[in-house]
Amino acid sequence: MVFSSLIFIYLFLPLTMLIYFCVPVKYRNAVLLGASLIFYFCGEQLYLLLMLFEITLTYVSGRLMEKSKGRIRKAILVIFLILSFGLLGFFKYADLLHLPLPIGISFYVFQSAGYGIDVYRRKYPAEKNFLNLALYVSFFPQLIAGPIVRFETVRENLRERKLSLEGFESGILRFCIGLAKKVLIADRLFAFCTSAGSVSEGGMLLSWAEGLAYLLYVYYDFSGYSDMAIGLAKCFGFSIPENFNYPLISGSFREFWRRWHISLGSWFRDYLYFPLGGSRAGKAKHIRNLLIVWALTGLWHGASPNFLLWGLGFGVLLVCEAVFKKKEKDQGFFIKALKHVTVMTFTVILFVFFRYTNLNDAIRQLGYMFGKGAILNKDGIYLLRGGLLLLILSFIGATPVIKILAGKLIKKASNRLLEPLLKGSVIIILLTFTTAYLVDGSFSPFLYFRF
Amino acid sequence: MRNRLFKILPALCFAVAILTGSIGTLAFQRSDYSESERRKLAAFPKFSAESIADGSFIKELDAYLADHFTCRENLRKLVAFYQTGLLNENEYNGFVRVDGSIISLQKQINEASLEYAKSRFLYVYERYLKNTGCSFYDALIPDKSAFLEDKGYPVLDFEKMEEMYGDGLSFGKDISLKEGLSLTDYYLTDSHLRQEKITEAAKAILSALGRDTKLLEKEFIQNPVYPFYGVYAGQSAMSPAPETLYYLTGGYLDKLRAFDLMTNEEFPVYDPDGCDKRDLYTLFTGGGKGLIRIDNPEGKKGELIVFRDSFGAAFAPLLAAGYSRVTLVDLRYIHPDVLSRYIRFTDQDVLFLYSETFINNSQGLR
Repeated sequence: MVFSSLIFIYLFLPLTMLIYFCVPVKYRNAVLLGASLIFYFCGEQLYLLLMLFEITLTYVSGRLMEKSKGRIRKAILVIFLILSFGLLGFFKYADLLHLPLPIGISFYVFQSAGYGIDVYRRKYPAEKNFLNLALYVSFFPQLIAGPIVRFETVRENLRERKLSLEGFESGILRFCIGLAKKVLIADRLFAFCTSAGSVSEGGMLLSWAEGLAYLLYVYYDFSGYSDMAIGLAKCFGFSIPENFNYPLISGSFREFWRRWHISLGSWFRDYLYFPLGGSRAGKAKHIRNLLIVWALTGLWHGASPNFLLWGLGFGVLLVCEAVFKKKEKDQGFFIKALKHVTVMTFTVILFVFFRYTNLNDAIRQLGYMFGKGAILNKDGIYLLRGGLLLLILSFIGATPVIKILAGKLIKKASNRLLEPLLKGSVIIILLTFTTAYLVDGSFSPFLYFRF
Repeated sequence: MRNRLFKILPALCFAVAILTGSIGTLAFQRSDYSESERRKLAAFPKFSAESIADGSFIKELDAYLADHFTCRENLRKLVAFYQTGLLNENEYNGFVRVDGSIISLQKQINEASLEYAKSRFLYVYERYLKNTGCSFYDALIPDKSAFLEDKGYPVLDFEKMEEMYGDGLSFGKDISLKEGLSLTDYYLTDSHLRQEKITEAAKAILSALGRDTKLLEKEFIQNPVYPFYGVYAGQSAMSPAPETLYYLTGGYLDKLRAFDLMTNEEFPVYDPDGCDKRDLYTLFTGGGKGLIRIDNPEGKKGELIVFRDSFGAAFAPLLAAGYSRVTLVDLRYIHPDVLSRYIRFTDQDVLFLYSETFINNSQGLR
C-alpha cells in the first residue's frame, strides 16, 4: 500500500486513526503495530515474514548483547550484522533467484542495524518490550521509504507520548503538503521527463531542462514522502527527524548532503565514516574514508554501476571540496551565486547517472546536454513551452520562499483566526486536487520504494 | 465558542474531506458504466482468503475506489484544469485543444500496427480479390492531428504514413484526401468527420473511381441532432460545450435502403431514434456492423465494396451517389474467412477507406 492511494487515504488512515484514538492508551502501540503489519502485508504479503524475522533477530540480538560481555558480545553483533546485511545483500545485490526486492528492506535493515550497533556500544539499553521494538522497525509512516529513524529519537515516544490538537493538526497539514508534493508536482515532473526522454533529440536546452526536472522530481518525490511520514508520525504523537532541508539552495556539496536525505547521510556518518576515522586520521585516510562512504551510499540505492558512479561522483566532489577548502571570507553576491550554480550544475549532471541504470543511456543523455545535436528543435520547443511553468514553480517551491512568505502572512495578520482558516483551506484544496489525480489514475509509485 | 471552533478548523476540514470521500464513495451505489469515458467501471472485488493472500483484493479495491469515487467526473475535470489551465501544460492525457477542437495527438507512426493492417488487407486481396475483374483503390483519412503539423505540435508525418499505407496496398490506386479537408470539417469533440462537410471529399473519391458525381451536386437537407458529445468530450475531461450533429437527407439519399447482410434485415440508413444514445455517431448506417449493403435505385449500375472503419459510416451514403449498390465491410466485426458466404467478388470497384487513427491502432482487425 502506498500513501498516495485512495485505499490508504480514505479507508486505512481514517480507520486506523479512529481505532487508535478510541482505544485506551496502553493498547495504542498494539493498534499501531497491527496497522503497520496490515499496511506492509497489503503491499508485500509473503515478505511480511521476512520483516518479522528481521524484527525478531534485532530483538533477540539486542537482548543477548546486553546480557553478554567482551568477545561474545562482539560476536553477537557481528552475527547480527552479517545476517541483517546478508538479507539485504541477498535480495538487493545477489539477485540469485531473481526475486523481487522486498519494499523498504534497505530502510528497515539500516534502522535495525543502527539499533544493534547502538546497543553494542551501550548507547542505550536493549528494548525489553518486543512490541515496542517491533513497532519501531515496522512503524508504517516511515517503514517503506524512511526517514531512517534512530531508536534513541523515538524511544521515549514508544513508551509515552502526548497527543495534542496542535500536533495532530500540524501533522495532517504536513501529510497533505507531502501528498501534494508527490502527486501534484513530482508526478508532473516525471511526466515531463518521460516526454522529453521519448523525443529522440529535442536539443541541448531540452536535455538540461530534463536533467533539472529529474533532480526536482527526485527531490519532490522523496521529500514529499518524508513529509507524509513525518506528518503521520506527528498525528500519532511521534516525533521523527527531518530528512530534507531545502537542499537545492546549497552553496557547496557538503551543504547539499547535509540537507538531502539527512537520515541516510547521518547513518553513514555515525556508523561508518566516524568508525573509519573520519577526517581526523590524516589527509589520505580522510580521502579514503570519504570515497568508501560515498561508494556505499551509491550502492545503497542499487547494485548497478550507475549508482556506484553517482555516489563516487559526489565522493570525488566532496574530496575536492575538503582538499581545496579555504577559510570562509565574506563573499560577494557574484561568488555566492556562482557557487550555487556550480553545485546545481554538477548535481544535475550526477543525477543523470542516478536516472539511467544503463550507462550507455546516461552517456548518450550527457552527450545531448553537452552539445551533441541541435540547441533546441521543434519538439524541444513544444515540450519546453509546456513544461516551463512547472519547472519554474517547482524550483521556487524547492526553496524556502513559500514557507517564509506564509510565515510572514500569518505573522502580519492581525486576526488570530487567519492561521487555522489558512491551514484548513490548504488541507481541503490539497486533498481535493491530489484525490482528483488518484481518481484519474495518473500517478506513479514512489521512486524510493525500490531502494 | 467561535474561537474554539476556529482552533479545530484544520482537523475538522481534514475529517470532513476524508469522510465525504470514504462514506460518499462506499455508501452510494453508482452505475457500472462511465458515459463520459465510454467504458465499464471496475466491479467491487470478491473478498476471499486467496484474493487477500495474493494481494489482488487490494489492487482491485483501489481500482474500484478510483472508478466509483464520489464526484469522480468533476475531479477528472479538475485534473485537466490543473494541467492545462494552471500549469499551462500542452496536453492532458494526450489531448490538446486547438481552435475549440479537442484533438488526441497522433505522435508516432505505429509501424507494427501499420504492418499488421497491411498483412490483413493483403490476406483479403490474395484470398478473394487477386485474379478477379475488380478495380482497387485506397484512401487514408487524416486524423485531426494531421492539421497541426505546421502549428508546432509533435505529430506524425501524415504524408509519410499515407505513402506507407499506399505502398502496403500496392495493388490499389492511391487517393489522397487531406488537401480537400480541414480541421473545421471534423466534430469539435469527436475524431470523426462531419457528414455535411464531406460531400466534396466524397466527390473526389468518386471522381478518382471514375464514377458520376451528379447526384451529389444537389443541396441536401441538414438534419440536426442535439446535444452531441463526441468521444473526446469525456475522455479529455475538458468540459466542452455540446455540439450539433447533422445528417444529410433529401434527393437520392431518401431512397437509399440499407441491409445487414449477416442478419438479412433491413434497417434505416440514419437512425437518430434507435441508435446508441451514448454515441450518437452510430446513427450513421447502423453503427458497428460487419457487413452492410446499401442500395441506391437512382445510382448508375455498378457496385462499390468499401473495406472501412467507423469513418466509412458517414461516407457510405454519399459514395452511394455513384453506384447502384455499396457494400460496406468492417473487418473488426467480421472475419475475412467468411466473406465468401456473403459477397462474390467479380468486377466491382473495391476501396480500402481507413482513418489514420485506426491504421495506427489496428489491433482490432480480424
